[in-house]
Amino acid sequence: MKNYTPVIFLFLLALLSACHTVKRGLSEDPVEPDTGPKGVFSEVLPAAPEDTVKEAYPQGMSAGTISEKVMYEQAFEELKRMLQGIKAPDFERAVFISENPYYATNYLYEDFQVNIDVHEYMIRQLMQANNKSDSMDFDVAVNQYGRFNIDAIRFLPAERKELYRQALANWAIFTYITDTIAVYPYDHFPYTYATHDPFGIKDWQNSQVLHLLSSEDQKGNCFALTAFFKILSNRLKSDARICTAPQHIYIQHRDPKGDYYNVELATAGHPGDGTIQTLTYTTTEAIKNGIALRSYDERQSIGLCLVNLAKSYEHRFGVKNADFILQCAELVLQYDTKNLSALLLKQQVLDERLRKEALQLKSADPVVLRVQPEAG
Amino acid sequence: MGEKDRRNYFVTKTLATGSGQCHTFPVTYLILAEALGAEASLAYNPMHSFIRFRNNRGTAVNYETTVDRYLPNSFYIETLPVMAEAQRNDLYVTDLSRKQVVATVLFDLAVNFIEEHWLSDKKFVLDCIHIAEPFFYGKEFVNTTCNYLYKRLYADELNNKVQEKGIRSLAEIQKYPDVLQVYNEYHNYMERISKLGIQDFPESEYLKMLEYYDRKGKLQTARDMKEKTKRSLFTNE
Repeated sequence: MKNYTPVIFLFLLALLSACHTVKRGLSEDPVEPDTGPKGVFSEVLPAAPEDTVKEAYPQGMSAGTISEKVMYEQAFEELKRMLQGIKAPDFERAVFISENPYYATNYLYEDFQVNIDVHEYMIRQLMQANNKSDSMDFDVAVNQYGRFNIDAIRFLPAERKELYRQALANWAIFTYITDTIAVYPYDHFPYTYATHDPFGIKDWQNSQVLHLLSSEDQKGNCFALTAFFKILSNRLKSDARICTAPQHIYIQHRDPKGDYYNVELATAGHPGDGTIQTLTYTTTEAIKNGIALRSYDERQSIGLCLVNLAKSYEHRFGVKNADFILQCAELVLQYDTKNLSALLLKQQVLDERLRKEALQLKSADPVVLRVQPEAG
Repeated sequence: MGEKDRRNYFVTKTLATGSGQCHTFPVTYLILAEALGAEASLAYNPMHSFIRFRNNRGTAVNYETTVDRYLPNSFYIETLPVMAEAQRNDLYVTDLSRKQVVATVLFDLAVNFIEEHWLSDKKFVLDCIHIAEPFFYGKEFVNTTCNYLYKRLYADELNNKVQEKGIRSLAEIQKYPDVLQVYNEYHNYMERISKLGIQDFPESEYLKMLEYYDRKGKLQTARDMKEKTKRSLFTNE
């Protein structure tokens, strides 16, 4: 009998490389899953119209610029209400409204939610297929002397079961984002790190979840990947939290024993704090004073979206020292004084203003600049 | 770690034989530094201790006595997956004062007592803790040894009640409010220190570490390095 394996393999490779998340049996009648959301991914969250991204973003002011700035203001106000506690912090919503103004609010939140529904559905399938809790005993028995081993009873059986569920959910999210999986009738391909543009300097879209989910190449930087993880974690109640280091953002969550691990989506690994400290040039002082290698609660995470809104504004209008940017930074710092991203954002605005003033005065002498009210 | 033979944890053993581990080497170093009038401090890492001192430029450096190397802070905070919070709370990779080092001897003394007499005299163990703890004002977690003592005390109190009620599994605890209360005290203690950034040494990492030392031990055997039998620093043989 002939061995067709290489031929089949090549055929599959060609088929799979054609698209990233595809429904199987393309030439046959489509088979819908029994449960879960309907629709093909690309139909749920289409990429923003080409002209929206390119032509509608002039560097200077235009007729459209004013109304686009209003979109940013509206996003700012909603995020502000979340920080103030007037509105409950909702990270999924916060990510969406902080990114959408870049596309002239062309995306609909409902579409975004449906898109996340699809991802959530896939991850739940992954969890279901790997859930071994039915055959596990979360209770702890006493030993032959009728006594407990103290290290084995840190959590009660129900808590241990919940920790297992959360760890399973976090594993499933991690696997879904970083690996190839097959959930009938879909094949899903991993999201990857935008190594060509880690800070979103060439194209700010690399920092956005909207772009990560709608683009063909499924690439994003650490913020896009981490924010996507956090959105899915909130959906699945897996208690993952966002952490930051200088110029970096990552995930942390508990294992079934209750201990924390770092999740690095860019490299699909679990580095220790020492590795992250070294790679991000973090000083011990920065750790000790709480601005680096720190975690964010739900409200503080909203602050990160606000910083991203400001950065989006900067890239959208090509300005580094706008009042809006400073306003975002100061609002975040009002509620989270140790948000390093907001501190750096504020520094950027002040730096830029000082630089412009120095150019205008044709002087870099601090004594001259200090007496100028505009520069001070 | 002195689990097989508690005497391996004693500085006298290191002084007598010239061999030791991550507790006895740094303490021996401190004793010698004190005798010479040199400034040096003890610092902790999970299940580990080492020496810190300031070099000629005033920069604090970590001296790893077990391998005779100067190692960066990041090396130490890589011991466990997540340690930044503990470092932030000055629990690891931070200098202990001389008085604090003396206070930790009381924790060691209490563990030595338990090794010999179990918890037959809880008052002695509690006295050791209560005398030493004020030197670590405001710290819920002092070091691994103190944490071990607390866990032993919680375990004893809980297990006495468990035996008294004839409880066979953890799920049953919830039927007995008084037992549950004791359990909750332990649970809350663990949650408080967890928030400080204290985590268990993962079993996989612990096994890896044991394997490493096992390999080192085999290497010594292969090279016929029998320091303990060849040397006695107490006598001039």
